[in-house]
Amino acid sequence: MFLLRRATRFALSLVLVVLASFAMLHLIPGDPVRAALGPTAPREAVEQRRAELGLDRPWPEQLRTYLGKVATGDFGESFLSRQPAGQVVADRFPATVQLVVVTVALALLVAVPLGMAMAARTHGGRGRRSELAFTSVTGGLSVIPEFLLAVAMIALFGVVLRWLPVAGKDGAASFVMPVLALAAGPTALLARLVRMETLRELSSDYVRLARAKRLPAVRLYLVHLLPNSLTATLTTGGLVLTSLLGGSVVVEYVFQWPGLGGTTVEAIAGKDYALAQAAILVYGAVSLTVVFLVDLALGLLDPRSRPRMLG
Amino acid sequence: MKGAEGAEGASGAEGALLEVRGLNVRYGGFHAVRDVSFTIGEGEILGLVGESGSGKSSVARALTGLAPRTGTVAGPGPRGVQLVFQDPYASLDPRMRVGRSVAEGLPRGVGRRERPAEVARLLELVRLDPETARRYPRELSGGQRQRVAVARALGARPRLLIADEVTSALDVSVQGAILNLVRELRAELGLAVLFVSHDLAVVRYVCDRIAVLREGRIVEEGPVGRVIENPADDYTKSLLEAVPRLRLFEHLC
Amino acid sequence: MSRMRTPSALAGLLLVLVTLVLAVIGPWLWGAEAERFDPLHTLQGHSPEHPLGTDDGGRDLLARTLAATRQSVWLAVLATLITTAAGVPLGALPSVLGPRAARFTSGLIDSLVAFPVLLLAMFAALLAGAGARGAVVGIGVAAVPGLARLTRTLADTVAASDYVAAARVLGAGRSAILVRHVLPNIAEPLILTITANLGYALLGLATLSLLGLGVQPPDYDWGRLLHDTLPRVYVDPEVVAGPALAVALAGTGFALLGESLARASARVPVAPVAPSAPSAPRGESRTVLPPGCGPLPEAPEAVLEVRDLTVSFGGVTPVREVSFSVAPGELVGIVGESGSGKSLTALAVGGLVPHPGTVAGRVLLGGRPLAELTRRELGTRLAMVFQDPMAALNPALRVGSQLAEVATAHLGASRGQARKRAVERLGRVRLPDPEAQARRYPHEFSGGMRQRAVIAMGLMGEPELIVADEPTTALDVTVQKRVLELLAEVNETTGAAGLLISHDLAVVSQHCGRVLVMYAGRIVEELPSSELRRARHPYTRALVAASPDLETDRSRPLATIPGRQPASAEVPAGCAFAPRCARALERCRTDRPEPVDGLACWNPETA
Repeated sequence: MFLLRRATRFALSLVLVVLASFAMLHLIPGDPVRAALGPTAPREAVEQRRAELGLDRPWPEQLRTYLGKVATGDFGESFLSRQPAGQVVADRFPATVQLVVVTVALALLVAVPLGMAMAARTHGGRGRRSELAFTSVTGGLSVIPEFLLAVAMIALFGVVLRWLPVAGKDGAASFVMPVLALAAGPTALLARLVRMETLRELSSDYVRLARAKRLPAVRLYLVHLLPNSLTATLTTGGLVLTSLLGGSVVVEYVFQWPGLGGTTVEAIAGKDYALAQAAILVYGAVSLTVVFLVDLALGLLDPRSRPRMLG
Repeated sequence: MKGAEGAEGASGAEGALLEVRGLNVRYGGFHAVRDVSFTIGEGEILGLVGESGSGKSSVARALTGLAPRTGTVAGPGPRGVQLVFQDPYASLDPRMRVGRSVAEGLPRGVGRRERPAEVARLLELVRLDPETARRYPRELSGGQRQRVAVARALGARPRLLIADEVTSALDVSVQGAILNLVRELRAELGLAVLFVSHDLAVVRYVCDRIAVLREGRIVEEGPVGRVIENPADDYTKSLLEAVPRLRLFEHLC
Repeated sequence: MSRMRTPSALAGLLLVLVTLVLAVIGPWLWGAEAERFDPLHTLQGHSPEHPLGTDDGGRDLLARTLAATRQSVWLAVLATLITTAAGVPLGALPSVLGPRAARFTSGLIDSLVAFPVLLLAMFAALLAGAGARGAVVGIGVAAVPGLARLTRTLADTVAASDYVAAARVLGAGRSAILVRHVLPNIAEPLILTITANLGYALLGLATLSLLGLGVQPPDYDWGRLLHDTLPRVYVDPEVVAGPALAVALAGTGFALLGESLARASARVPVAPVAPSAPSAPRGESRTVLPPGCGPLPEAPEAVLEVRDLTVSFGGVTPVREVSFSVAPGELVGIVGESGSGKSLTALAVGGLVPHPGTVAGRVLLGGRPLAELTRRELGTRLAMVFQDPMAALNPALRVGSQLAEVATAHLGASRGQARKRAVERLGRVRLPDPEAQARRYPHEFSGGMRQRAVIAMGLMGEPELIVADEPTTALDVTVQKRVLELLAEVNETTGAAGLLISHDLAVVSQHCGRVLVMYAGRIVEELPSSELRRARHPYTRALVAASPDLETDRSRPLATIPGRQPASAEVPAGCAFAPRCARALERCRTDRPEPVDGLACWNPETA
């Protein structure tokens, strides 16, 4: 039941994304082909391009063609480079995935233990100073945008100290700054969430009973608290992971990371609509998939959403 | 609230203020109330007793339009049936002064100038100082808040008051005053009351008749003395047996 | 305004004020300077005339940064207006619309929230065309789903409340409820969130401009300045400092202010901590003796002995000089209304008083102070049962393993042995098919079954004392009866001492031999439960009279106790019950009665 509902919503949202990417070309004010080719391009060239793209056909037919093409992985041609847009996306996307996966791993590895430790230290109103330090630091980090951290790090570690490469993707060292810039905000947010959820769990009756049983602290925190505060955190914090995808666009741009983000920005700025269309479709689908997977994982982790055993 | 519904406002059987026939409440696939029928006479207090999940609160909510229902309900119109809730801490808007909350129940006909006097009258009716109108709910105790909730309901000039577990969130020393108030209001205003509770001792004290609900059905109904002293249904018997009583006999140390 | 005192709120407020002042005066003071071309000094780094360098037209970057404040803030305000104008109605709609339309809007909001804001913004900006207008629309629209969802959550909470139900019963329409109840109750958190959104809009607009998708020359905002100076960061890092710092400070200022205020207003107000009333001089504490039951305390066989137990939180003392003892196999009841300190007494006996509470006096278990017992001894010799069985078991773990862990942690049992013991104990509390029950999760149990499982958990060790705090308050009467019988039986068969805390006199009297009556943190009377109707303390008497039972005289009004129990911060100097007591003497108001022969009263009832 739960699975079905989620899967339906996932499927509907995917359809929405495909429709939105199709509608994009038609919603742009003016003539996208004229805009892409520039005001000086001859009228015949524009007309020819329009015909190539099928933009002269009635829109229901265009939609049908578009859906057929998307289904076979054909995203059309880049307006500018004339390369297949699908190919460009496929070339660029792996670098983005690498960046994002490393960042997510780092964020979770830091945020979960940190949040739980802070909860243990500050619950019931103790450790006022630690609490203040933690909330101030994470509060600041969670609102500072990625690009500012990126610029600051480039200036400090790249230009002044010359410890790290300032741009491009070349070996482990080149990951350090992009990952840190991208991870800081989500890590801070997640750590706050983990702390809040753990605090909530700490004041629950089952923890009181576990304390009455005088369980060792390790068992109390790892066996009793971790599964509950983790599921609670992901329920509210799952969106932090997709927002990271948005942040990656900026970080890639600033660090000239050879991922999909930089390409997308260039495509939008250069009015390369076919490529932008493909990129937005991919980003949208990936975000939805992540949210869906998080939901599924939560459903599996929480025994309450599993079917009731009989007998 | 859609479905087969009787003509509201029409009076039912002779002498009956409210007549309920074949009441059903369903929430999705869950059938909370099944074919419940009962009547309440003018100025009568009917107790609706049951354990959790028996559907007693669903009956209360269905009769006031807060839960979807099917069946025939003949009795006073919508404003003529008012509801007082279990939790006095949740049933008053925290941002409204008591006076405004109580005034919410007044009929449209009451003009702006008459409102303060009417609010004061209602507060006095529930044995509260009229000055209470200027306070916020957070400044009041649980018992006082419950009185405010009763005053608000009375503002609509109902002929039937539904009291849904009105004392279960209160301490024993406060509970008695609310129970007395319910009985006094009946005596003073001729108000009929549907008194919903899980507590048989309380129901016995307040009510004239009792209906026992189990899993959405009425299993027994009758005058309070008969049901308590001479229950016909096994479930009623087991409920009565389970009521904790003060021990009377000397106990060996 | 105590909520303003957090450092993040203060920092936010300061930053916001500076930003707003600069937005007003910036273009007047530095506008001309910011526009002045100087072809001789283009693309310079730091110099005395140009602390942050110059741009490709030789214009001073510091002046440009300061002058750009107005444009940056203004665009953020516009974007936030779009967000608010669309987000709040969209979120509030479901509570006004019919169910089907409500489901549709909710579903739409939920789907949109899944997309990263920045991508939504880029998409919207693309459609609206590159430039300031596109960026404002993009950022404004992108934040709509988030704000709509928050509005909906807040509105749903209010709409589901009893006071809205009451208004509906009184005949108020949907729009009247929206205006009268919903909007006033969600306004404050919404306004604070919108303040925070202003910050995020500022940062988002800067991001779009940085990417070249926002403000286009000759206009400039902070993001555009960053876009233009970014390539030079490798040579003259100071040229990006101006716009970068400006964005960071202004954006985080709004966000911090809004967020920290929103959090503070969401927090439940803490009860005021007042200094406690001066307590009467502490005399030689006397042992409370149950009348006619012989001198039990001091007897070496008492399993639990509590002496002058006092629990304080700061200046508030909810439990005061409580003394009693419990013998093996005995079940003693503690009765009191909410706020009497009975539950805290139970927690103190279990050594579980939460921080920052402090415990004074002595609690001896088997003759030894609680503090001297090892974790293992406490875990096996002391069992606790709490009020809400729905919350007392960990929802993520199987019932069997929650029992078994006591044996593995304290008894050195192997997993297999612990499991066997758990199944055996579940059988002992008469759960049918204990083998299968052990494999289940708590949500598959009914309330009564869970409470049995908790009792079984207490039996995993060899308990000498079982403390049950309102164990059946959350259960139905028929279930309550069986659980209490089980507790009494366990008590009897294991020979453990039992402490049953309840607000219900009848419950306690049915199962306990002895009852302690608590009022305002103290034990006011101790008596055999069979004597409750002949209690000597006026409070106990009044409590008995106020509890209706199946024999109460229906022709007379129910006895009530006027006034209310004093909060622990405002306990008066004399007898705490004196202000509500019909028998109070002058002495009762000034002089606190010490317990003598199980009674703390200057003017007890006689017959």
